[in-house]
Amino acid sequence: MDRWFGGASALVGRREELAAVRAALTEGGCLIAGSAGVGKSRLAAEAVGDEGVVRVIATAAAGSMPFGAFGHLLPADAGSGPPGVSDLIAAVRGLCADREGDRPALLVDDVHLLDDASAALVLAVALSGAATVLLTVRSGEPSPDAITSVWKERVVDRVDLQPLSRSEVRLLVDELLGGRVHTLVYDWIYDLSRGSPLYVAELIAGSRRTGRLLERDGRWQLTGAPAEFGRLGELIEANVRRVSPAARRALEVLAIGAPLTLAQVERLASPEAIEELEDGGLARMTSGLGARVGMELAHPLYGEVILDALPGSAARRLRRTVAEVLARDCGDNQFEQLRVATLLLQAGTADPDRFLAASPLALRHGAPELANRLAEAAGGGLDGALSLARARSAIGRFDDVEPILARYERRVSRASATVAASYAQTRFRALLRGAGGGEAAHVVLDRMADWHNDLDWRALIAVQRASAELYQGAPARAREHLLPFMHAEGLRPDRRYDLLIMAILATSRLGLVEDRAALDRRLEQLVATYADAPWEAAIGVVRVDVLSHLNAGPDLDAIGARAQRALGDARASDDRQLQGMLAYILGELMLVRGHAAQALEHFQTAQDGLTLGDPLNAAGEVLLSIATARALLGELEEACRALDEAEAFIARRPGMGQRLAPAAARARAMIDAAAGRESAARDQLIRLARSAGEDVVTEVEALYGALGLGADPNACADRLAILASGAQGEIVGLFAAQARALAGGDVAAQLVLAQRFEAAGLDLTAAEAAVRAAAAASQDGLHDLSRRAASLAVRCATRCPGVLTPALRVPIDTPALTAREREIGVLAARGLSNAEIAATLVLSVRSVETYVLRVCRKLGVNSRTHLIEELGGSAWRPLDRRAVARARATR
Amino acid sequence: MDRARAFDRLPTAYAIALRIAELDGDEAMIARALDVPVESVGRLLQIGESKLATLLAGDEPLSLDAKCGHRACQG
Repeated sequence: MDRWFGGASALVGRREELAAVRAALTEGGCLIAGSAGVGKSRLAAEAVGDEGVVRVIATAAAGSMPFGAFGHLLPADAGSGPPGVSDLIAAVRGLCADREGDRPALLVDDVHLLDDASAALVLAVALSGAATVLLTVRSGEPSPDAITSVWKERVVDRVDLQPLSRSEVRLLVDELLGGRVHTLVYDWIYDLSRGSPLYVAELIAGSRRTGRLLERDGRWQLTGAPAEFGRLGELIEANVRRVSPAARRALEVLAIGAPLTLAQVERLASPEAIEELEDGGLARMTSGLGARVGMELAHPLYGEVILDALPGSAARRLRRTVAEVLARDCGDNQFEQLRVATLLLQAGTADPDRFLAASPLALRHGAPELANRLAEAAGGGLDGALSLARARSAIGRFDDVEPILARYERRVSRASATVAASYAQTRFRALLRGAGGGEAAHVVLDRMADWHNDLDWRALIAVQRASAELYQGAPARAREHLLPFMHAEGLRPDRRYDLLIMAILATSRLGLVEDRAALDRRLEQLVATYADAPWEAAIGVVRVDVLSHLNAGPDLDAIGARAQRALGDARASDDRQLQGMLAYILGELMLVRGHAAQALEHFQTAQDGLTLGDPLNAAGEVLLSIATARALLGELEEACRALDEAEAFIARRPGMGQRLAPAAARARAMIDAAAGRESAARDQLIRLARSAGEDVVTEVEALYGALGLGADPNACADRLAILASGAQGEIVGLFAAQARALAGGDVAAQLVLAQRFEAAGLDLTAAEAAVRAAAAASQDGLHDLSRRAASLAVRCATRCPGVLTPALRVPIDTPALTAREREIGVLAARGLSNAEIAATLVLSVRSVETYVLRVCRKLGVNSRTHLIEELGGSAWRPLDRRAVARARATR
Repeated sequence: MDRARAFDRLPTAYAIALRIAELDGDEAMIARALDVPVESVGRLLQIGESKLATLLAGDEPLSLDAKCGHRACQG
């Protein structure tokens, strides 16, 4: 059989592209984008070489299951938990021994076909920097979010590969045919291929085999009229049709079952068929782990074409056959078990036990849709219903859960407490998040309360009731449910954990900071000694820290450090879902401080993590916080878009409406304020304060926000004073004192309060208070006080880059730095030397020295060290020097 | 080879990108014209400039004007 050229054709006309890709690889990685057949895979293979490179082809078939494309790379014992970056990197390293000294290389073809879990794994590997990552993607195809992030966030460079020119096609034709070629052949091939190398190769291979292209008199020429072909897929299909039936079946096996080991292919296809595919260049051997050799199609397009042409019934039969072969090898590897179950499900084969076992695996591997389909196919019974309910919850179909579980209520009421607890928690969580919300949850809880009478059961019901009360904005009632159990002996650790978390959230919303601190210590002790802690325990402490931020006061730095440590631990353990949760929490913390740009980065990370699961039910909050952060940054259009998304989210989950109402009102107010509609923003916040009920934190925040937008300071001061008298900790008292100082025009008190806010870590609040103090002092002719307040305002506002609230727009007597002076002052404060600043901004070192001197004079500081203190350098992130270099390159 | 002829030999996308850049068009304009993300325009221009330099240096191994020698190709 003639060799097919498509997947292994010569690399012609790509010298410059190859140089660009290799340059990108030295800087961390590259994504090659382009249309089908333009030569992405061939260029990628050339760029990383042949030796010791791990190559993965993503396919539509493998993309239907979690980690589908990586199956042959992951160790056989990876099934005990989700595969992590370390597993993949270890696998890549194991195959790259001959690249000693170099970083291992991972080449993934057609990343747009990856499942979400695999895509997230690729992003994590690229971010870790532990392997050189080279990816190819088909232009115009939707990709998983993680893949878009890889190039959008510049983790790797993107190269868009273009079709060859006419002269480059000529070179390729010469290379493929050898010898002399008639000009008409060149023209015919270029006009049909429009510069697609794969099209060129397939056209030549097919035309030679059919005798349309012949070498005659030492020259390649066409015989008869030139044939017309349509799309590349049609051309490939025409060529594939000519292989033997056995080889065709082997192709179908590879298209449906990839990735497969050679041993598995040999059980599904004859040796002759395998040889025919290899000789024809349609398939090739690949390196697997250890002794496992894999086999794959030579080009991803072959698989697509073959699957398109395969009738549904034949595809189902083949999937069943492949699944049977895989089932023999999978042992207790959960990943392989899931793969077998998925293939059987796609084949329409009934295997309820296997599906029931696989559904939770799919959920754990971040594939809730697949978990749902498996649970649906698993059929009835309580176990099946619970699996289906959990899968439906995971995909946000909370209202489906009630009818699924309600029918088992009587049976579960007589079951063991363990079964009943699992049932109750699954049903309750869905009820709370569904249309019924807290009220519907209470009705069901009333019935469940009598199922058992032991302490643990009563505590479980109390926790669920408290959760419902918190959803309904009633933290005092939530606390009442919990109080009888707070010091009870003999509770299970997980129940005690839930009690403490709920109690901390309730006391926080009531402004009882000292009670919260005591509970916080108990929670820390519990987590430290709790051997089988649920994974959420790792973030429980951090979570309550941040969500009860109002009273955290001077502890904000410590809380931030603790959250960062937890995030570091989550990264080390490759837990992306946990990373997402912690990023959300850190974003909230940044937002409290007014660091909106940093908050936004964290929220975007959180959104990536939330695609893998949302156990904290934070998706709505994240959207609203994004809207708030964007409004603070003056990005009105994006803020409105995020708010629209959040409102659509709430419309889909009406039960969440009450819980999210305060955050939604705050986001709306921030958008109004940023758009200059300050009175509308103020009225919105006053309404929110009036409707806050038991929720002290919401009322305090809304009142203080309204005060900044021109609400009557006397009225605000009176109400805040009442709230401060019932609250613990200093922050509510400081807010009340600030309102009183504004009401009385006490400029000195305003400055002192601004300093207290700064000491508490509330940079934006401090900056706004200082601006007001500076403006008032200037009006009163108190110039020294005004200068000090202005300096404080500049220092605090500089820690909130990009933020511009109405209060910060008030003109004050600031040391008037020009844009250039400010830019250079900021770089100096971030620790760059004069020479580095000069190189970054393309200035002379002498000019930079002059600017730095001028900035120091204007800010009233006499050294670079003081400049750093004045501009808050230590509070900033270290400068991304690669980003600076890139900025210079594009300048 | 002169510049105009070299431009004609470039793959169309690179020729368009370089033309727009020469006319002081920014990366966003090039991205819109070629329907590629703006993030990839830098590398695209880099490749286009390299290809152009190769053509101007006369390194192109095959000229389009070269005829195959067969008499059917001469007309």
